[in-house]
Amino acid sequence: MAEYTNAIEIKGITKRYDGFTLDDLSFNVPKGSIMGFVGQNGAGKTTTINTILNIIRADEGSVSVFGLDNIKDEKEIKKSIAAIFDELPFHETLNAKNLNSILKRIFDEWSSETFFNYLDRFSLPSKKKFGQFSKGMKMKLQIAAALSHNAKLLIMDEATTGLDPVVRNEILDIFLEYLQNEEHSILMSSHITSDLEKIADSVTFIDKGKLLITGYKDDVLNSHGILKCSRSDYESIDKNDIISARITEFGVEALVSDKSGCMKKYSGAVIDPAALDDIMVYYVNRNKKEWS
Amino acid sequence: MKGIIVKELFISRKRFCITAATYFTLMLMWILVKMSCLYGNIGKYAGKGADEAAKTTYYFAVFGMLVVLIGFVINNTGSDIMSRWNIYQKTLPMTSKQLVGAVYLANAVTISAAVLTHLLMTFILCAIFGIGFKAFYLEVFAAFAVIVFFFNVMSMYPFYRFRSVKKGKLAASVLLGGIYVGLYIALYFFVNSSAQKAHEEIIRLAQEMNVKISKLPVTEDKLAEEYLLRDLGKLTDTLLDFRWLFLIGAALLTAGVFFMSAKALDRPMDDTKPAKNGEKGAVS
Repeated sequence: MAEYTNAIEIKGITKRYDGFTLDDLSFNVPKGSIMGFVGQNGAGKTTTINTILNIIRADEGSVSVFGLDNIKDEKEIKKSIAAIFDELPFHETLNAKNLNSILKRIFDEWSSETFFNYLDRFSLPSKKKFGQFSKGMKMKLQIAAALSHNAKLLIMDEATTGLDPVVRNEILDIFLEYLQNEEHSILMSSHITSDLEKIADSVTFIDKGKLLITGYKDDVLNSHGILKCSRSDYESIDKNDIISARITEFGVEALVSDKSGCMKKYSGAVIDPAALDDIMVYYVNRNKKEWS
Repeated sequence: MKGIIVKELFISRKRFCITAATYFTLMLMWILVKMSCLYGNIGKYAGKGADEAAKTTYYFAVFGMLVVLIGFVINNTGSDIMSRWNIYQKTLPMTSKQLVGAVYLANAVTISAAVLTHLLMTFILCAIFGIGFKAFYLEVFAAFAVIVFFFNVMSMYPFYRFRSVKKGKLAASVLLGGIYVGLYIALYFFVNSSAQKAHEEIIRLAQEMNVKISKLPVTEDKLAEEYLLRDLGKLTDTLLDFRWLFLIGAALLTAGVFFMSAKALDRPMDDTKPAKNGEKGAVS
């Protein structure tokens, strides 16, 4: 595999369905980083991930993984990627020992020792059928399988949804460990923004199939803020400066995308830091502009 | 490919155990029937005595038990869809031809192993029942293996094509039901034709011998049975004469279904109409 800068490069991906279009999406996942892929339910995260994995084909645009075309070099790419889905994609009659026997004959770089070490670490029984596993156990099993064949790229679709905070924390620590190797990268889609705030290096927001923001997480958080003011003061604010505003009987909270600029322009205004959660909510309401 | 073969075997192991238990239990039963015949405990079975009972049991064990071996056929395409393995396997470093080929190979291995085991059991039955092994048994067993393999790969194709358990089962049922109806109609015409010939022969004999039909030494039913066996014998001879043609035809059709299945597997997951509300295997 030739040298590459970005683990994933998405250029102008468009996918049309009845009632939904993923519209001209472009972003990169730099090598050695975690990209948090954020959007509410139905935003197009799974469609994007399925396009990267070649599970579905885009109508327009291109995807390259490790600098290779994801369609022409599909087999080569798939030796080095691991996908983790929101539901366990293994038969319920199998157990971990069976899975090891299957996957070691599929992946050239499969390590049974690594797999069983992860099973021990996650306290997963090797002879219990998957049908008897809890949701947390199923997710840990997928992660153990994903990390056992020296994959350079993990692609996760809502992997932490439905898990309790303790398990989620454990999993996030595993991912941080995984990224100690600079060759490793993660694309993680989620609408649980608190997880991404903990570990993501960069974030991409999409809503209704359209790209809203993409960039380094710290840059995104530093550039956005929640401007708080009274309703009368709100009237004097240039509406082009705000993404959307939440209007209550007590006052107005508006998301601004140029925090430092707004701090200078509206010197008396209070502008608080915005969390990824806030950014998502305000952007989703950007068309309404004012909401409550 | 080895990983997929192992997966197919693991998923089917419960059914294999049940089939093996059924097969060997029934075989033991037939052997016990023979022992019972030795001691004369089975009397007028089939109206002809213990030897005939033993013979009937022998032929049933040799040919009838082939049906039990269908339990060794592998078709997990439906459960692949239910478990979402069909989506996961799209992330594996394997081509669709390798995926389908592995399933076909797993089938070939299990069906061959089952038929070879049955061949071995037949030798044992020949020794116990004191009836000689005939060479045509090999052709019958080989034909059975080929037919079962062929119909199994045909019934897998709708699952690859529609990616829906309901549609796959419906299409497979229509296919197998159509074959059953076709065979039934063919047999109906055979039986009718034999009955017609027997009826004409009985009338001719009655006129020739100048007696009433009821006074003839042979009945219309017996004649019809003989004509039917003769016609089936002729058909079998014709099929045996052209067996290489049928084998080549089956091989070509299997190859065709293989490529169609691989092509269907290669298509993007959203290339079929999505499964209806709540049905597993749908790509969101």
